Amino acid sequence: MGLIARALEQEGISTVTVFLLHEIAEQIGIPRGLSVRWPFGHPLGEPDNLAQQQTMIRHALDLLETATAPGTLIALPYRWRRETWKAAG
Amino acid sequence: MDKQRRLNRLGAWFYTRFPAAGRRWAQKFQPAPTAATIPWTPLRTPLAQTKFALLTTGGPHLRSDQPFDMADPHGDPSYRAIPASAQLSDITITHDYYNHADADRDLNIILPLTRFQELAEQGRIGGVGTAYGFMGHITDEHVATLVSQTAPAVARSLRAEGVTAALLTPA
Repeated sequence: MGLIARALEQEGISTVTVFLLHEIAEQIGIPRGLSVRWPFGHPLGEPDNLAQQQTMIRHALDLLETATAPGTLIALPYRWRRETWKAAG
Repeated sequence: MDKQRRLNRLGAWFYTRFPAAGRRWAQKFQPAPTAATIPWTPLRTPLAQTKFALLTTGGPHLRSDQPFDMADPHGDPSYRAIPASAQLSDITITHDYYNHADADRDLNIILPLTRFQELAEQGRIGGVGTAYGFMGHITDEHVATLVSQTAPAVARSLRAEGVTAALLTPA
């Protein structure tokens, strides 16, 4: 995923990448990244959880707008299935 | 000869006799890439004027398309284009290396096409371009293929359709 992000940035496309392993994101050197400690196969959360998916997407869009240097990596604190999600406005 | 030197010579013999072990040993000492070596494109337009693409290594593709190659132990470095207008029911997942039962139920958790179509309809983003499915479980020579061929090809196609931002999701 990091390799694809790098190829896109080289071509002039701003990227934000979600990671399920924060350590991997640190090691491979990504332009902008979000990490969550959720099970594999669930980078944006649980199926049919609209508010959770919207929250993750909002974090991604915010990071695209605010990151000023490559290697900006944010570890999100969300727990798996133990959060209350509010729909994004 | 002291103990340390005997050990060093044993190590030298070992790494000469088994060069692959030496390469693995050296990999542990590669420094993490610094910011200066990471390619960087700042976002140059407001979100409402930015056309987005979604990419994932979770193995999605159109049902009508050829599935990813699951027989090759080194994975499949190719990609599948998914039109932005695709319905989720047009898409299936071929990927044996993670449990995608939840993504089969709601693809948006790995490829949030519906969510981005909604954002575009609301005018929050400028548009949604072609999505690309990859099969992330690749090793050895397929990594080079991804880096030198398939990923740059996708990047050029996206630029050609006016995409300037992308969300990437792993499996």
